[in-house]
Amino acid sequence: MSDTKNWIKALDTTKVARGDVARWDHDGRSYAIFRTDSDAFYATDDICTHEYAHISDGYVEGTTIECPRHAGCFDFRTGQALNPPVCVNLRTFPVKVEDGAIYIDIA
Amino acid sequence: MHQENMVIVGAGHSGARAAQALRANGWQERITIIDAEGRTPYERPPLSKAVLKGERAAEVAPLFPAGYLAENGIDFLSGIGATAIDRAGQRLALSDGNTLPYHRLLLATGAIPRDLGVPGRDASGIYPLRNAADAESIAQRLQPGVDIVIVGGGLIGLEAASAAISRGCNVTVVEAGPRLMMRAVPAPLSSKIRHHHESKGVRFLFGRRVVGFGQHAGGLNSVSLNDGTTLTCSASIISIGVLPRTELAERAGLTLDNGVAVNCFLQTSDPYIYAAGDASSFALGPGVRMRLECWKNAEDQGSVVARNMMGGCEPYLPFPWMWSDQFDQTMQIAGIADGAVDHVERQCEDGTLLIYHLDDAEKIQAVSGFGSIREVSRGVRAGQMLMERGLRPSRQALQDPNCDLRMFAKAVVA
Repeated sequence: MSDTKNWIKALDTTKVARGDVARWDHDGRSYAIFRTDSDAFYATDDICTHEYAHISDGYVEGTTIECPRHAGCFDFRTGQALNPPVCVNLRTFPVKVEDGAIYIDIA
Repeated sequence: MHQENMVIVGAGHSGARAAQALRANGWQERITIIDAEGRTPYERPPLSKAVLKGERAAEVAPLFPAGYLAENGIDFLSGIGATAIDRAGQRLALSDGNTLPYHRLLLATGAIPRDLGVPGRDASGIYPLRNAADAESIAQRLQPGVDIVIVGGGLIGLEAASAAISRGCNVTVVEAGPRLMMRAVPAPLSSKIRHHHESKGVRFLFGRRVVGFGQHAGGLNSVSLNDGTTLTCSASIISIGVLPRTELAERAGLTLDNGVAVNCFLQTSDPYIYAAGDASSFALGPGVRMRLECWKNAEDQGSVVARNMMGGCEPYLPFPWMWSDQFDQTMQIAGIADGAVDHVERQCEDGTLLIYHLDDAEKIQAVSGFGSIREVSRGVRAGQMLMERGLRPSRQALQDPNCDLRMFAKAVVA
């Protein structure tokens, strides 16, 4: 099967620490790129669905990101909103890693 | 067909959350919320922030998603107050003359702002800051060049000062105590917050009390202080704390103790009546009571009380946490610093100050921070994690801004 995704190179993998998140700004929009302790990568919108905050400033634990402003949590693998005050899921984006770089399909 | 009714007095945060939690936990019979305010239930935190700044209306942050009440069969009696509780008959009397039978009753009556009983208080232009109408009235007064006096240097006063400055007002904060946020944060953090506000143009007067308001043609034109100072102003915000609303409980003969006294299950002295939120004074242990006035407490108590009203017996364990936004800075506090004997300061590179409060066994009791949202939230969240797990990193680790405190939790798991 051919790769039909619109991959855009985001960050080098070294820019995202294990068990943490990094922010990537592209074309006027911010994305949050996550790396688990077992080196799986995920990407979501970086702006919380509740009020304005960059979730990449937040606290990562396991596969959960907690928004820095009001402590709403999301599962960053699926974008699912886990507890109030957040109730709208985060948008997620396909990710691949090639030659030490993280690519995101932001289409 | 007869249906049992869960009746909730008050559509503030804890009342609204309790209604949602009753449905989420499977309660299929009636739920009725009554609220005298007559507005769509709304979130309070934005009132002293975005609403004061004129960035948005209170209704922009509703407590219930659109359509939620109807879809979930929750009756909302808006603009109607509760006047009396007939405990023997389990009926609530309403201001419209009707009575409502209840299976369980939840008092989520909230709090009212403390007022100043000083001469001239009846002048127009003097506002408490508690509800949406207050915030909207104040927002209209915050015009460029207007002199505003804020009475009280607590959290609400500081958020109001921040909003007023951002709208170009001249702001003076009068605080009776020696420093800002006396009850909530330690002196080094008070000092940092003060300097940040002063750098933005806020003027503080400490150790002084308001003794009167001057007026001209019925409108406020000055505030007089006990040292003889007179401050010219056209509007004043009174932010000197709140009192729990207990009249309904008191008239019903329920036990009060700095609020409606409830046991650890949030149950009042009448087992069919519960209380949650700002009005609820809950038992923490023998002879120890606490009443918390924050979003997190209202949120968590709303969920716990709903399960207990349905027959559960889940004790409420508070994990106090609060936030504030002031200018471009954020503040967060977690835990309860009472009983702490020492503290460690963590000074981050971007100017953020975090303070970890330690007890005599060097365990973290509380953490507070003021600065960038990133450093404050990460530092406070790490402190909460360490508290919850009873972990004791060294003072050196707490102090070192380059030490990622999350590693202590990982080390335990691994």
